[in-house]
Amino acid sequence: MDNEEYRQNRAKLGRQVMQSAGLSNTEIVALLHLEAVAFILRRQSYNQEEFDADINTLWDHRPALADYLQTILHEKELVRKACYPSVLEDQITEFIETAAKVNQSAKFELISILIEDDEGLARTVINKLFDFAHKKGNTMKLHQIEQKIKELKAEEDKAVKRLQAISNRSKYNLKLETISSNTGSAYIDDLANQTVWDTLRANAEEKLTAARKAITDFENQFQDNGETK
Amino acid sequence: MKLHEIKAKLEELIKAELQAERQLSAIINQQNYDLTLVSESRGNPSVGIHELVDKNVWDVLQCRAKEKVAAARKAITDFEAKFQS
Repeated sequence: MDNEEYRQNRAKLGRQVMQSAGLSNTEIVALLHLEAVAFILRRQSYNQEEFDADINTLWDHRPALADYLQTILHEKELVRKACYPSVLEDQITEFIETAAKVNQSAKFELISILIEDDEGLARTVINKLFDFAHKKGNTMKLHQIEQKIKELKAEEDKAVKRLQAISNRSKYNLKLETISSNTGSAYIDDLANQTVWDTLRANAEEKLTAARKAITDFENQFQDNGETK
Repeated sequence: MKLHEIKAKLEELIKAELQAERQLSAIINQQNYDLTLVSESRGNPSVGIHELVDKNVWDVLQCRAKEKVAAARKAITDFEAKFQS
């Protein structure tokens, strides 16, 4: 087996390992770029301490870095997945755990094969990654997106429950619940006529429509060319 | 009408008046309350709907509450009138 064949077999094996971990080709490319960062840093004349510090910095920022990598790669699907950092982090963790089972030097060799064809890109990625990692304001971006998704979903759930309750009003009593402890609550079911219920229902439907539109609008921000607007 | 029946009727009328006044007071002081749909079945959570209520709804509720208070008071007056010589 000549050297080239050996390298190709190693590359093939590496891809198989990652594919067996459930990663798509695009995800493998993105993750290999992350790994390439580590590889190139190691090839530069960093001492071990600096190297570890840099890698730790990158690792601490990996959700944001992964997001940025995906933007670089213009992969719409990955950007969507990046909206759910826990999913992506699970995949990265799985990848690392899987990769740890194979020979470490083989892994670095695989990376070197993959990036040596395009070291310029790898270096560009490294520089941009570090710039990005040091912009701490951006490191929460994915978490903010996740938080926003939770808020929008909660608002939609609330709107659905209100509409359901109004639709099944025969199973409920209408009550003015006091906020202060000084006054008592008052049931007012008998005061609500058809006009009241019709208005409440119309307003509930309007709120639900608005909540769903907010979700669609938010999702649409991630539809154009795989990049956030 | 027996005395205990008169007493019971009077208590019933006063209770209805108090309930109507409490409803009207709560509607007038709506900012101190949360309008909630309270489930009759156990284990089913209540649903807050205060933010769905617009001025039109409050006006209807207040109008009906005032009518109810007036009706309760009239019922008491009518009952009292039976005992006027």
